[in-house]
Amino acid sequence: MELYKQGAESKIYSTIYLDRKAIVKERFSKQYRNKLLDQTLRKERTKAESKAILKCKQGGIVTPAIYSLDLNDCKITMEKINGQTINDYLINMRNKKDDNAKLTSILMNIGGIVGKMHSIGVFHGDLTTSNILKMEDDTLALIDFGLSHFNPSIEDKAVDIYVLERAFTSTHSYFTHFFAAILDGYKNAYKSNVQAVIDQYQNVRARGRKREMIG
Amino acid sequence: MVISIGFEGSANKLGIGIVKDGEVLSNCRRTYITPPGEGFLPRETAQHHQNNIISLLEETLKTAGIQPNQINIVCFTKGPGIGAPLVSVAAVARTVAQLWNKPLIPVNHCIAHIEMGRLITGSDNPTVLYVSGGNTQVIAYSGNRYRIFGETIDIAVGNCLDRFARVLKLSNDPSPGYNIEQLAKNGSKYHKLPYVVKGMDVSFSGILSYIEEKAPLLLSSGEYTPEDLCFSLQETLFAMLIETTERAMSHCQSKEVLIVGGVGCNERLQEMMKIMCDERGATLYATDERFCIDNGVMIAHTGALMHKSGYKAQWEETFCTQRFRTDEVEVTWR
Repeated sequence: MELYKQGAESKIYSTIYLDRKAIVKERFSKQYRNKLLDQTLRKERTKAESKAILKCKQGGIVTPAIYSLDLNDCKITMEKINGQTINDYLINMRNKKDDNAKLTSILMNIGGIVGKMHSIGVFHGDLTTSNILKMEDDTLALIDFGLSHFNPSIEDKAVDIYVLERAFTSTHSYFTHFFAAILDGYKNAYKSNVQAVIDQYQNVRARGRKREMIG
Repeated sequence: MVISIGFEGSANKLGIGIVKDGEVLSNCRRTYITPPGEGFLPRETAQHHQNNIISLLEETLKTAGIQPNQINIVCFTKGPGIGAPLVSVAAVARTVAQLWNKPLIPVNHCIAHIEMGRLITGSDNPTVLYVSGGNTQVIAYSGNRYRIFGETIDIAVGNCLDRFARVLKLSNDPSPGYNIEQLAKNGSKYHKLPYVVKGMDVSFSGILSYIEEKAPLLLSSGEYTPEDLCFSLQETLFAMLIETTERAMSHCQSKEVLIVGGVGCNERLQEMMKIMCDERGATLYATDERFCIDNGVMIAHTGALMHKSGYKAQWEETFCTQRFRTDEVEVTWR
């Protein structure tokens, strides 16, 4: 197996599984962590990831297909999705600013997929622009569910949106004013009491420490 | 050549320091220490600073061997911090600036920690973990600002440790966190605590409530010792910090980490960070208690950097504010 990518908490290997291109995601042991804590976290996250991937799939959201699961070594073998992360896509888009209609529609779809995920009762927990993939035909896929759980509260949903906004504005500050399109897409997709989530999201935003409270 | 004096008193430490072009001439500090089981309150802390600041100023000048007329600029902490102590110290800084007829420079406390860390360790462009009693932030520099990648969404990590020290009635001398660290060295039995990472952000208040509630029973039943609980708390909190720092590094492709702030002198935290850095081929930079813990030198040094880059403050701008975010300051000296 060839190392394809190393993230902060996992190593991704590319491999072939029954004649299909696949990746193996291994949550490797972190030497700095207490052994017991390390095992618990790795196992919980591997489990959470596979459960959320399945639940999203049942709700009609594109996620990688899981081929096999090894909870002892915290490894998931899954489909390799051919696509570009939204992070890379936005960096590319920066150089061709004229295609705003396309960009807005992609952003609306991002909001849409997050709304859909929330309405089927999944909280992502690490919703950054690196964890949303865009495929050739502009379909979006969600990945990296290690911090996810089911039946999120309104606060959880608001935090998901807030984390996405932070990732969006810290890395793609030139597109900051486009974040509204993501919210619009979210509102369209998440029908039941979306106002409560939006209100809570405003609360979460205001909560950052040492923020000016004037006005 | 710029000789700069800095006044710091945003929390329970009162510090005055003198620096000459990055060379520390004196670094004096007095800490307001409360009885075991008690935290420090704004009014009493301000009183402590007011009672000590004049004699500390004399001591600082004497240690440095500097006369007031040799000083070029006077710097003070504008914020963030606790209102009453901040104001007490700023009033003295304003007064001496007028007495000596020197420019007065207001400095952001968090930025001062980062700049002092960079000066002492010689690190170039590190991902910064800033951990203290009032702040917990993962910071990276980009586009003339220190940007906050992750932070606590409720209490600071140092506050969580301090408040657990109160539950155990540990001494606040020299600091509650230091005494937790010493106890934790003899702990071995890990008790599972909540572990709360939300994206790049962390949350500590739930962990504190949990351990505050459970501790009396765990201790009285003899199942765990205070050492074990200190150990468990440290291992959990620090693992959260290292994890978010590592994610920021991976996001920014950074190869350097700098730890600053009072909790930054914790040797276990430094050790864990070192292991993480070694695993990814990165370098760790850390300092000891002289510069990790709040001090006047860092204010003097940062003020000097601002001054050299051409910064001048209007008299009206030399006030204090309790809320002053790291990412509000435009960095003109890098």
